[in-house]
Amino acid sequence: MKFLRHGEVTGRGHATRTRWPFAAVALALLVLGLPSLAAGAEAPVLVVGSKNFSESRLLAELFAQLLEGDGDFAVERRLDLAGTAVCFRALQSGAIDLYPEYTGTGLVTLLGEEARGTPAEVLRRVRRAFRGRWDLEWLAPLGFENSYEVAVRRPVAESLQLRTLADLAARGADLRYAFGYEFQQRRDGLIGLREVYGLQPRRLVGMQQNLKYQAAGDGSVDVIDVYTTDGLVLVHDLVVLDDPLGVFPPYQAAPLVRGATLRAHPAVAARLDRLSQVVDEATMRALNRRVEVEGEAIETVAADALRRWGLLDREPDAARNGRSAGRGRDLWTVLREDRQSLAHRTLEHLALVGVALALAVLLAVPLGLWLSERARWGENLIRAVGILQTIPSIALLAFLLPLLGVGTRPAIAALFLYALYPIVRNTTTGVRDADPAAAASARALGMSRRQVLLHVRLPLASGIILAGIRTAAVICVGTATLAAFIGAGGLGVPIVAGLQLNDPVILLSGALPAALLALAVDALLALVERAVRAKV
Amino acid sequence: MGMLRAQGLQVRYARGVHALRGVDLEVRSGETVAVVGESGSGKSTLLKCFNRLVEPTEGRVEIDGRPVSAGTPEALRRRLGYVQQDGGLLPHWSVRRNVELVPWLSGWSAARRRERAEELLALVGLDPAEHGARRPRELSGGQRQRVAFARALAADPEVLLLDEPFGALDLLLRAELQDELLRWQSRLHKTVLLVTHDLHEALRLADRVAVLREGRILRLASPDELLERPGDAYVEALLRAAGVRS
Repeated sequence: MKFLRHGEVTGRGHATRTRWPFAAVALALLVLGLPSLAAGAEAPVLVVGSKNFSESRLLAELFAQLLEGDGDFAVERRLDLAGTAVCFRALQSGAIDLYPEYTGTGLVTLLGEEARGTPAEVLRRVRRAFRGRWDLEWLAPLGFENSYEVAVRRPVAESLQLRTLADLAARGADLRYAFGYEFQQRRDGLIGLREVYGLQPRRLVGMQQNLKYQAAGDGSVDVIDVYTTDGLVLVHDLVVLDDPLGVFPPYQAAPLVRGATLRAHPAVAARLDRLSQVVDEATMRALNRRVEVEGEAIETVAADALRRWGLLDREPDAARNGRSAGRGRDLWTVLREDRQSLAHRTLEHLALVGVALALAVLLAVPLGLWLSERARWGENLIRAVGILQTIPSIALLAFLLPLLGVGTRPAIAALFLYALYPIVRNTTTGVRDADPAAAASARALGMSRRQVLLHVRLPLASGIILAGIRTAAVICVGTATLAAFIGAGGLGVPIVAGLQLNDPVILLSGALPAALLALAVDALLALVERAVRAKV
Repeated sequence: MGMLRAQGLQVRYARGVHALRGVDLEVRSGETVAVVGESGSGKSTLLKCFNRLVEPTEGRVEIDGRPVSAGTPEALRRRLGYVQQDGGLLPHWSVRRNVELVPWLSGWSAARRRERAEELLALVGLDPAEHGARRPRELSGGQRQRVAFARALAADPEVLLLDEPFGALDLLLRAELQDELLRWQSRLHKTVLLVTHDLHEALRLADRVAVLREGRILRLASPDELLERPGDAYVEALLRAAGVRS
């Protein structure tokens, strides 16, 4: 945690009357947050990642428990990384050692090749290309395919006699479509459907995976994209359309592992190969159903499955069971039963915000002071900082991943960047516009420029600067919920989980504390601001 | 001591505006010279050349025969008392700390600063015990301007530069503070350069009055002389407008 120590030292060095409360808060948060960031034991540590949908998380948990075995490896889980690109970059950069990937995705999305060939051919092609280009290895496929498919509500499919994607293109253009964002951008997704079948949806909305099922279930959309092994296909009354022209290539699930990791720990390949051809589509769908529909914890489901297959006889690790109980708990019950993990998430959240904010204050206040004396290009530089504000958070996180890996560091970096603008802007404006007569007379009586800045302009601007810090803090508390997408924890974890499980109660158990936290941080800083303004 | 001299002073601003077009002025030690003129005449610019808030384009500015550009501007300014129109007290400092400003900048000990501040607050008619700990906004306008004078005098400068010091006060208060200034001056004998647009004030306070128009001094004379022989149509019009000459 080089990052954090750095913040600590500079925080002490620059403490002034205006800033010390933040340095202190940040330090306190640091100390509180550190235990959660501490790494484990003497066994070699492997980092397992997953994408942010339940099958990927479940597979990653299977890998993780299999590798942990009898304590041979310590496994750090980086679940919920936001999509293929984030996972793959994390793997390339060494931030994770392995994650579950699908051969078709490797072929089409990562290699940019045509979606053609039998499952065996596709596996051969991705193995050769990944080994040569990136030193990454596809281990043995698990035995099921999880392809993209397109599903239609049964009454609609029956009334329009839709059996294939060609039927849909011919008669279904006026239906209401909801496709995942990634699906819309993939050649083995909507792009391919347009090219190959000539499908031209007129009414199309983008929607997150599990919300699509709900929307199809209550009839507010007609057509959605699904995965073969989705447990929810069983629940909602949907017809999966055939793909006679083969837009969707074979998607076999397999562990994708760094070559370096396999050379350092040959046992990894041997361990994971035990899963080879063990899981067929029906099995996977049933496992997914337990997570998505019954609301069971992935740790429990994975441990049960490994035990049943005779691959592991260990009891599931109860301590790690975050979401133990099943569906149907009300919000109050969730908040009460999960209070320990929620408290931990809140501390993680505060640590992210506190560190990012402290670092932002340490840079932005001096930068704002410096720019306040440089009227012309100071304004341009502040505008440039303002542009950072317009970058969507997920895009910024994805951009930072290859530079900083996954976990807390890119999250802190992103929050830091978002916090800069309000602080720099308020510092510059506040200092520049501070009581001109007072500044002029101080100068006329022999204060140097620096003394005027330090003893007149800065104290007079401190209220406005604090208002900027307050704005930045509230922005950060809100934005930090997205840190869960890159495995940095925080209150975004229950939010993302709630989205995936389509469980508004779980979602609220993260969103509600996050909102309260924002209000609390705002109120606390309002008090500090008032105290400072009273002194000025 | 505290003799001011400007010679051949010209100030041109960036966009070709001439603020001063060749000004010669001498203020003798202990003398009060008032510079009057309309706004834009360059009178404030002239004053600011002495404490280097404005650097002249051409010409020499000297205090006691030494060019003002000899040292740093900060060292120069700490030797010159300065009062501006709206006082310019630091709003986040107590009255006492405001008065202690220049002694503090000059590195006086805390005890000496405090003693000096009490002395000066008493001089300008404020009770140190009652007003010293207050913030400027807790005082009236007249009291604030008294504090500004105390602050200007704190490090015992030989020269006072006064830039419209009573400009923001209403008439009665202005007359009261003018009297006060005369009273202080009778004890202190500072060299004073006073910039004002108020001809009455100039005639009342100054030993000599300089009339400035469009960056040039039209007339420099004692009040009596000025009233008797304006010597210039503009000066005459000015006196008539002020009602001091029929």
